[in-house]
Amino acid sequence: MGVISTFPAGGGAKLNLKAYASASDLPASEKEGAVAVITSTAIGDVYAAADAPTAPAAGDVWVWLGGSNRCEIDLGKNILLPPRAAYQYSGSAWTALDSYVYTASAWVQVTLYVYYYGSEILSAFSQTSGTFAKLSGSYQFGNAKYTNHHAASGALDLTDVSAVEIIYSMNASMYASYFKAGGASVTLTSGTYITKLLDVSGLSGLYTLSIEFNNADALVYNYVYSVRLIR
Amino acid sequence: MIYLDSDYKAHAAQNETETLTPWADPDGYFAGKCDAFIAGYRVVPDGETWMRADGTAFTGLMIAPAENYAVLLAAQAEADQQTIDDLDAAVVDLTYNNILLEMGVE
Repeated sequence: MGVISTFPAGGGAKLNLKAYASASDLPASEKEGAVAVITSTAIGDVYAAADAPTAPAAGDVWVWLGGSNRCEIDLGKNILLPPRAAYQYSGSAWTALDSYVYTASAWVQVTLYVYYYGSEILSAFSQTSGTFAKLSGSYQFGNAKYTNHHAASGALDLTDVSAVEIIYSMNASMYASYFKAGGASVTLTSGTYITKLLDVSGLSGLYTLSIEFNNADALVYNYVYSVRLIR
Repeated sequence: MIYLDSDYKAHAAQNETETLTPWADPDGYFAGKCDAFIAGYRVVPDGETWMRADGTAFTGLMIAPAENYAVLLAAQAEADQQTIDDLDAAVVDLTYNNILLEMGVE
């Protein structure tokens, strides 16, 4: 599949955004600040903004800016854009695109994952009580009875984030266990590879995420595999 | 006890037609909270599912602000300050009355 390129007209700094059919098609090197989106649909206009375009056309691409992000798009001339995610308009809805920024001689994936199977991305979690370990593919909580095992992230910008998702495995606990952000909380239920969503649409600004596995009466381990922000 | 409507929005009291569902608040999350704070929250009870307008499903037990949390906190702070002011006034009254008793003044 050929490369589809689009360059904004006019002078000044340019957002160098190109489409590729597959992540494996990304070139070995690019200009600093280049953006790659993975899509086989022809790109229309390209927007980079904190808010979704109000009158998009099918094919338009929107780079969602702001908030907690993994890297910056260096446009040169001291202009840095903070990408959170990229979307393409289908004609009726925005569809998330796999996207990358070329920075410091490498392609860095733009992602809303806070933590992903061993990779601390937008923030790291650290122990606030009990037993907490960082394994190669998960966070591990537990191995002490009658103990609360808690961890919290660094501050994350939840502005315009509508939900936070956690995927975890939990053994039965004596007391309720929670996933929290600011004044929002959801109870964690026991099971393996459980997905829970927490509505944070009422939160705007910086908040830490808190994972709380409370008080088992047996020596059990609990695991967290991923935490993701959802627009 | 708080009350939930069909959209799982919280209310401090039952409505006139008694159509709101009581929720016991077993952990006392809303204890001491003013009506405005409670009214800005949504509670999805354990075992139930709320479908947000964008189609995202949330399962309980979830307790989350349905409105701007900063505004809810401000309302609660104002209510707390009023409570403090009321208690201060009550302390003054009690102190005054105690003095009168000690002086034997009826």
